[in-house]
Parts: sequence; structure tokens; C-alpha cells
Amino acid sequence: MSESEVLPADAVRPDGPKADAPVLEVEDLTVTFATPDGPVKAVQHVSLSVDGEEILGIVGESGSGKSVTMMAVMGLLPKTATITGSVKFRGQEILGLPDKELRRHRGKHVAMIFQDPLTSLNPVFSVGYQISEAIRVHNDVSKKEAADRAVGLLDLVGIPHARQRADQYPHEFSGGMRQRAMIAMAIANDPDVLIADEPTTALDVTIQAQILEVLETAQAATRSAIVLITHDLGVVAGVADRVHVMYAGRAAETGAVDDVFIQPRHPYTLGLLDSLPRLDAEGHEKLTPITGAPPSLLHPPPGCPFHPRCRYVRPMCSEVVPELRFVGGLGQRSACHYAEELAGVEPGPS
Amino acid sequence: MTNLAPPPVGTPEPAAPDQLIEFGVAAESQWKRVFRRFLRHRLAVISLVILLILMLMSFFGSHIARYSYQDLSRTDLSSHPSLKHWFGTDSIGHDTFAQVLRGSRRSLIVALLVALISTTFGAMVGALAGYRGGFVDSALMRFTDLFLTIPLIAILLVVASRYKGKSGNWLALSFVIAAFAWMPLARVVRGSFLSLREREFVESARALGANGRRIVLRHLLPNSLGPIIVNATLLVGIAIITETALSFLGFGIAPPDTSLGRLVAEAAPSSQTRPWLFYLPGLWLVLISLCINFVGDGLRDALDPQQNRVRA
Repeated sequence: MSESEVLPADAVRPDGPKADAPVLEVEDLTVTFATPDGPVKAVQHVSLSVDGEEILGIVGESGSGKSVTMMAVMGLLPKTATITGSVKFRGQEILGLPDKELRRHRGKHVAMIFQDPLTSLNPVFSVGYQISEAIRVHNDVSKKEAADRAVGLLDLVGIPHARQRADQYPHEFSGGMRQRAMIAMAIANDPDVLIADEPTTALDVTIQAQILEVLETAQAATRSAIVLITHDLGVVAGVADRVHVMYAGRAAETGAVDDVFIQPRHPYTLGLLDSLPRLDAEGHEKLTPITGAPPSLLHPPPGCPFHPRCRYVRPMCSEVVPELRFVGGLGQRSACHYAEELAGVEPGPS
Repeated sequence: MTNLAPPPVGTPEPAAPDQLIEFGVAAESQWKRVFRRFLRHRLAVISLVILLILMLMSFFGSHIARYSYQDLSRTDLSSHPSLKHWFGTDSIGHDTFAQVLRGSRRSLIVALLVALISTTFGAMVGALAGYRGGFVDSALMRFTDLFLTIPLIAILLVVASRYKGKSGNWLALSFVIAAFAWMPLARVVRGSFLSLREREFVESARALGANGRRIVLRHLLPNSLGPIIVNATLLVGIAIITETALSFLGFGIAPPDTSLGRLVAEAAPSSQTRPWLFYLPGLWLVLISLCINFVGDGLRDALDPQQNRVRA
């Protein structure tokens, strides 16, 4: 593809080491929405950190607080939300910064890819123009230069005939193409953290795999960290380094993907894995669902939020909220009183 | 749909090679699409052509017309429409066609000015209310409601009477009419902004660090352009009628200046004896506003991507 030549050397610049120190640190984040029915605690005491160049998967079902956590990081929550805790970007507190200063972070340091590429692009402008606009938000470059960079970015995310495609409108792109364009737009300013909010949910399975590849390409080009929000455990297993399982606004379990998936230390993670079909299963075993429904965040159950659905529930679970604590292997943490007893329990049909 | 029929074989569309992409579909810009959809609306296209002809005649016709509005014919007094005097003459020998050209020029200038002023103002009020929301929204919308509740003609008569009879008052008149024509547009733009504001591409722009000005100018306004254009077009029609009504009542354009409304008003007493003096300027006026409304209709259909109905 000859168009890669138009990509200027500094469009994606590998300037110095980005690795090692955490780029993004979230500590004790609590988000409360005031509703007519009372306060809804969408996120409670969530802490997580993202190192440079790593891919962190955040897993959980709808309403578990994954997206709200990341919207809080972006400072994009509505005014009805009360946010406490701390969000640090490269050691600098960004929670509570005035919008004017937050805008300098958004897109430049922390960029976001949204779930639905169909609606995330402005229908009245060409795709190339929108990407060059994203560049011009943070960089004082000429329209021509920005347009050239946009073409280079489209080429990078694997859009064929990028120069012609750049002049087309979102409705002339397929869903997968649009998501590629969204990724191009997100990495336009060489962000340090890329938040992908269910980037593959709106796409069909074959396209999902391609988009994940594009994400990895984009990460390689920008050397950014990726926070991948998803409810698809397969996606996390495929691309993430570490995983953060959330349930009812709290962290249930966190650790390296391999540790968590092979030796889950929280009944919820175990339940999630059990409810997935396995390639190594013999015969036609039925999948094991997690019984019950997620709790209401308006009236969360006392104690461990998962106890009404937990198959290992004991009296203490409904009384004391479990802390997220280190269990088992290096860095794996679980918020279960009896995490140690899960050692040796392997996911699979029971 | 009938237009799905394959194109005749052997006549491939010539397209510049650099415009071709892998599927052989050339990029089509938003405005090209709108234009193509507008062309499908036959009534609107015909109306646009007639409107353009009428406007050209109004603005430049006086240079090529046989008679100037000042010419007095000594022989043709109160003559019927004829090849010589298309719209006839009045009792002192003025050529009515020349008068109509002159009158419609003034009427059109006023109408276009009204549309320009009220669209700009209405869009600004609506945009501010829709984007800011909350207190600003409430305050601006109550202000708009206030203007909507004021009986238009009564106020216009009071305000316009200050300029009554002053020559060259058309500019003031335009502002007066515009002051009472911007409200519907403000509401439309506000509604459009309120819904667009929640769309994902706006959130995505915010996530990329766009500030409020950029979001309004690059995302919200361009996406509201359709309804704004349609409203502005229809406003021209409304403004012409309003100007005519005011002039008819004697509160509009003052002599020696003239407008369609004044022509109709002056000819009203003789509508029984010399009907051409009354009906022909009237028809001219009706034709202009009809055409404007049909063009507005066509634009509405062309600009609304949700509507795929093919109209004859």
C-alpha cells in the first residue's frame, strides 16, 4: 500500500518509553447518580491501574459499572453524577479539573472508541474531514497537513484506497469500516490511553476479530495502553493482558488474564466461565447459567452483592462486604470471603 | 421502486479513474445527494424554475421591458391587457406590468431580508437554548413564547405606524416583520439541538477534546441545516404575505416606493371596473408565494434522509 508513505513520521510518534509506570490510576472511585427514586451507586470503591502499553480488559454484565467508570475517567458523566475518589493520569489528578483543562486531556492523552460506529460518526461530514478535525482540535496544523495525516491513519487501520475513501461519508462505509475509522480518529492524537467501550459489540463475529486486530495494530503504532470494556470473555482472553471483573458496581476479581481464567477465585468469575461453551467439552453438556438476576443498584443487597446468586453462599456473605484482597498467584485479587476455598475449582460443567 | 432497473447495457457511466473505488461507486457528497433528491420532486423543480424566472424579471426585467414604471401612455388609458401592455394600463396610462415588476422587486427584497434576519436570530436563540439547556433554555424559550403570544398584526400595526408614510421605510419594515417571524425557527433549532446533543457522535467529539464552540459549529449546526433551510425558505413566503397585508392596510411600503401589496391595495376600488389592475398583481403575488412553498416542500423532502418516498 503506497499510501503509507504519506503518513508523516510524527503522525504516530514513538517518543520515548511509555511503559513501566502506570499511565492511568483510578483509586477508590465511587459514582453516585441522583435519581427521583434515590441515589444509585453505579460504581463503588473501584480501583484499577493501567500500565503503559498493556491491554486491560474490564468485564461485566450490563449495569455493572464498566462504562460509567471509564466515562468518569474521561470526565464525560452528566452533572447528575457525584464522583468521589481519584483518577490520576501520569500521576496528575484529573478528577474535578475544570472542563477547559479536561478538554486538553481528552483525545490527546486519553481517547475513546465508542460501542456503535454507526452513530459515532457525524453523518454530514466526510470521514477524512472528521479525522482531520480531530487532529486539528489538538494540533496547530494546516488543513492540508491534517487531511494527509487522516489518510495515513485510515491506511494504518486497514482501509483500502484510503485517499479516495477519506472523501466518503459515513453512510458509504460498512460497519466494520466505520469502526476502523473510529479507531483512526481515536489514535489521531497519539493518545497514551485508548479506552474502547465495547468496540465489537455492534459488529458481527467475523468483523469483531478484524477490529481486535486493528486495535492491536493501533496500539503498536501509538504504544498506548488500551482499556477494553466488554462483556465478551472470549475477546478478553484473546487480547487482554490483565482483566478486571466487575459486578454491581464493584470489582469482583482482578489479575492476569491467564490466572483469572484458569483459576478464578471469585464465584462470579467462575459462573461467567461456566456459562460459556467450551471447545474442549466432551459431548453435549448443557451450559451452566448464573441463576437469578443482577441486583438493583438502587437497593443493593447487604454484604457481598453477589451473595443472592452465589452457589457457595454462607451466612457471613449477607453481612460483611468483602474487600478486594490478594489471593493465590501473583497479583490476582478477589473480593470473596472464601476465595481460598475456590482454589482448585476449575471452570467447567459441574 | 422502479429506479432499481439495471442501466442499459453498453453505456457505461464514464467516471474519472481517481474517483472509482473498489465497488465502482463514485463518492457522492451530501449536497449532490440532496440535489438529486430535489430533482425527483417535479413540482418543486418547476416551481423553482418559475420562481427564478419571476425573480430575474423582477430584478432585471425593468431594463428590457418596453415601458418603465414612470412612462405614461397618452393613448392607452385604462386599456385591457394586450400584447402591447401585457397587464393593461391604469387610468392615467401607467403600464401595469412595469409597476408589478417594480413592486415585486421591493416585495422580494423585503421578504429575503426578513428571512435572513429572522433565520439568523431564530437559529442563534434556538442553538443557545438547545445547547446550553437548563436555565438558559427556559429563559430563552419563555422569551420566545412571549413573542408567540403577541397578536402579530396588532403589534405590527402599532410599530409600523411609526414608519408609516416615510419613504425608504422598507428597511425598518423588514426588521419589524423579522422581529415577529423568528420564533418558529428558534423552536425548531432548539428541538433539533436537544436531540442531536445526545447523539453518540457528539459524545465522541467531546471525548476527542472538542470544545463547545466546535461542537455547535461543526456537529450540531450542520446537522440542523436541513430544517433551517426549509424554514428559511418558507419564511420568505410568509414575509411576502405579511408585507403585502401591511402595505394593503397602509402600514407597509410608502409611496413613491411601491410593492405588490400597495399595487393590490390601490387597485382594490377598481377591481370591478378594471379587474386586471387588481387581479394580475394579485396573481403574480400568489404565484410567487406558491412557488416558494413548493420549493420549501421539495427541500424538506430532499434534506430529510429518513424520507425515501418518491414524489411525483
